[in-house]
Amino acid sequence: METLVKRERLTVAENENAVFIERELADRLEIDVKAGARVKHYRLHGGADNALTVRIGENAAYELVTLHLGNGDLSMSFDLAGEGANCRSDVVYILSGDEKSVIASDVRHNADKTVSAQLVKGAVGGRGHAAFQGGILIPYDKKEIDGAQQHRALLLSRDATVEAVPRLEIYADDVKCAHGSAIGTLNQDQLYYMRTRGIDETDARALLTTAFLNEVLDGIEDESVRAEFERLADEGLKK
Amino acid sequence: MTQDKVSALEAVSDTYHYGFETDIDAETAPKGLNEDIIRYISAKKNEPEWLLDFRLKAYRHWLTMTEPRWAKVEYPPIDYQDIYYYAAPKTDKKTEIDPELMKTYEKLGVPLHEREVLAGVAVDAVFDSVSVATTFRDRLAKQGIIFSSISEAVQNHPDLVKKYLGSVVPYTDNFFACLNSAVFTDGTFVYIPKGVRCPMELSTYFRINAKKSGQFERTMIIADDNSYVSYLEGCTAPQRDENQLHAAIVEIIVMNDAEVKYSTVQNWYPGDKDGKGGIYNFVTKRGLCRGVNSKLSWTQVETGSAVTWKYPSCVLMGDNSVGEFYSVAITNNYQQADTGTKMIHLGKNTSSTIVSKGISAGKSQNTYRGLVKMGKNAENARNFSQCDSLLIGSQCGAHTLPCMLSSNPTASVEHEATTSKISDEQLFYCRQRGLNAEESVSLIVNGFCKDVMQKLPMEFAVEATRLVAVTLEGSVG
Amino acid sequence: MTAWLEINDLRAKAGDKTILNGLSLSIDAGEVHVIMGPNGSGKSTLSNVLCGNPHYEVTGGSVTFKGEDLLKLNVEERARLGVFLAFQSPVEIPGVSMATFMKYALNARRKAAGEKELDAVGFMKRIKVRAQALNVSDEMLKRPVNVGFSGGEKKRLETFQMAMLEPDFCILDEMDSGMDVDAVKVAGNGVKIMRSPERSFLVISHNIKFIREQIMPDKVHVLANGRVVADGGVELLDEVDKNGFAGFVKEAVA
Repeated sequence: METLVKRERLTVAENENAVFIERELADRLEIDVKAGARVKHYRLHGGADNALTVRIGENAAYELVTLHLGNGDLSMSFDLAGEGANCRSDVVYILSGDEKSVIASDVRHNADKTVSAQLVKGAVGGRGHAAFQGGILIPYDKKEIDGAQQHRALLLSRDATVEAVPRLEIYADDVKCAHGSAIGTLNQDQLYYMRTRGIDETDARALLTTAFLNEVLDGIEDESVRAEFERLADEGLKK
Repeated sequence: MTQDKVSALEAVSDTYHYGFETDIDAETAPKGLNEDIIRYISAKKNEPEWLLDFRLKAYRHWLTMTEPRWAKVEYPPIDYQDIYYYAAPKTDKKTEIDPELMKTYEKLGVPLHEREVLAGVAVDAVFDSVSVATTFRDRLAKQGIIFSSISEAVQNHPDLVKKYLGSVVPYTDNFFACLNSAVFTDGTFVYIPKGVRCPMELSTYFRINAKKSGQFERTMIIADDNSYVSYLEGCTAPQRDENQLHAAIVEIIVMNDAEVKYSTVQNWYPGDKDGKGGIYNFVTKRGLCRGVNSKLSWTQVETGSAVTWKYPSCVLMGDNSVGEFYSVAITNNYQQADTGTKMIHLGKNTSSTIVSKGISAGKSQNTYRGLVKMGKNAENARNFSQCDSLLIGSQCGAHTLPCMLSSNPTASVEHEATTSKISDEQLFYCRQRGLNAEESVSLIVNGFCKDVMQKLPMEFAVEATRLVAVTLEGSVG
Repeated sequence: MTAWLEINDLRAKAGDKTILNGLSLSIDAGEVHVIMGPNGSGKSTLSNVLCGNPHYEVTGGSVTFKGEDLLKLNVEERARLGVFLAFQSPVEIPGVSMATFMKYALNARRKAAGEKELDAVGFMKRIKVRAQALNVSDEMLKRPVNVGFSGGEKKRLETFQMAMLEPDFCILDEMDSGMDVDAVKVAGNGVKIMRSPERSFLVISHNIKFIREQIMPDKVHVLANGRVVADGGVELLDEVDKNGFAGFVKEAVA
């Protein structure tokens, strides 16, 4: 395990295993995951704009969890370049106050038998404005493709806004592609249930919001990283 | 449509059953577009000054606009000066319908004589630029229902037309709507008075016949408080090598507790196997649910046209108003469709449902494009969208672009989409039971579309199911 | 004279994998045959190859049915000639009701035979009688083909389709798997009702009790490594019951 600081290009050699934890982000980061390599990548993002480009080789697997807090646009591009490449790219975003952010993701299935999955969850309070732009592209002639994208966002205040612009472009027929997006509020029945148990409304809301976002963060295997991300997410929600 | 008529239609041609041309004299304005042409159209229709002003204002605005190119469709530039903007079938007496025209509509299965009309369907037929017959008018008039061509409505109910024309789709709305506002020739006008439930389905049949003519019809439906109407629209055009433009506007206003159902079976000529010819279908359809508890439901089956650009929309202004959009869009060969809906939630407790089924075959491109917007005051508003795409063959495309925007924390927006192909297992299963490959595909596709098909009125559903099979002909090897 | 169905030295593969390896078998009109064999012996492949599933490639041998070269025909042509497969795991077809499906299947056959399509009354009569006999409710007929049914219900609907289409040669691929006792009886009942001197059956099953009590076959075959390694009558069932397939598999390898 290594900690990255402001590096711009990374190559993970064939059949290597690597775990990256990124706390301070360079403006641009490019990762080349060679054939058979397995990468787990955890990022803390916020404040400034950032662009991430990942190329995933044959039978390689790349797994990303990003925690985005505050301002700054995040752009991610995933090129599933080798047959059998696998990409998971999950994001949690939390905005409050006057924060604005555009989170853009592009997944390109450029080889046969590639699999992608993405779960994006957001909570926006204050006068925050979040936009999620999620693209999946399956070019002509590609076979046995499986692409999935889910986006779920909670509006935590009257003046918050969330915009979702999914974009599924499919030029091949041997595909399975599922997509979902939802914007709404906390489940009122769950809130009520908690309150009947004596939990006050503020706590109940916080608890449910945390639970909502933890569906993504729970996927972080490394315990200390998971604890750190969950703590930061909690702090973000309390702002 | 009766079974006899269906089979009569099938005899007409191999694939596109409506590809015949009617040999009839047409009175046309000179080709091209300028203020004189607009004055000519307006004078032909004996229009009041205010309407001519409306047209000219729209035309002058149109000159400042550029054609939109954001849709996922490709087509060569349109020469707007190479189109006839007015073509009327020439008849000796205005009240008599030319027998040739009658034959045409019979071939199409549109009965004009009341005795031939299936129970419960009143028909307005628009041939090129002119509305030629409106059946059942007197019976409807007894209940205060106005069902006429829009040209007649301009003469007989100018106040109503003036009040609502452009109120839902302003002439500044978009390039094609603006063009339509300048040159619209005919279309249907419907007014349902307070408390009246329209006793029959109202129907319009559109047909483009004249060469190089565009069709620019304009339809207005106003459903006053506590009224109900179900409206059906069907479209066909002859087979031609060149592309023809169809740029229509539909405006619907729904008042308190009123409900409008609008169903379309669009079967404009799609072009041939190599993508030659076909209709450019650039249409703006929008309804305003102005009243509380109002409801507007769009159902469309889109099988025709070379290029489709169409987003029937609902503006849900009244509290508790409901918007629905059920769509089947099938493309084959070189067809391109970019279609979907907009649901704009403004009022409290408004709700909308979107069900879209896209089927792409051949070398076609099929795009669902949608917008769901929850305004600041849309308390407890609800939307659910389901968009499914089915791909047949490896050379077509299916695209889903569902945009959503929410600015109200009590509102909920939910979208689900899937893309898949007909599985080899499904095909094998059907063929093992004795269906051939084409029959199997048509059966599976009709099953895929069932949620939408069953929203259609009975007589349209039969035609639509058959159109699915016709459109997919040649899509499997 | 050749039999009603004659399979001779049939060889087939799926992808690169050879599954049928010189299989020979003949069935006469009116006969009920059972095929048994260990997993991977080629039982399901045989049923798929007989029906013309494009997933499998025939690399050798011949199959004649009613004097016609079956291998020359495509899937639906074989079906129309009277070959029916009751699938082991029938696929779902959303939005298409069983009643509609059967109407299309029947009319496709009639059209191919140059007959007039069934009218609504004739069709309803046909469907009612058979549905009642096999305990298929109206509600089941209205639901989409195989969507949301239990394993047993799906098999019952396969039997129902067999009764509707009145095929000459029925292949039942593990009809008894995943079914409770009552459902197995219904399946067996279907075979009993359908049994006639003009119709033959090929039943693939592991369930000796089911075969003995419900199917009562004329002949039993044991399949191993893509070939028939033993032919006989019901007495073969006892042997399999006692010793399993081990002995047969050895024979096939040797």
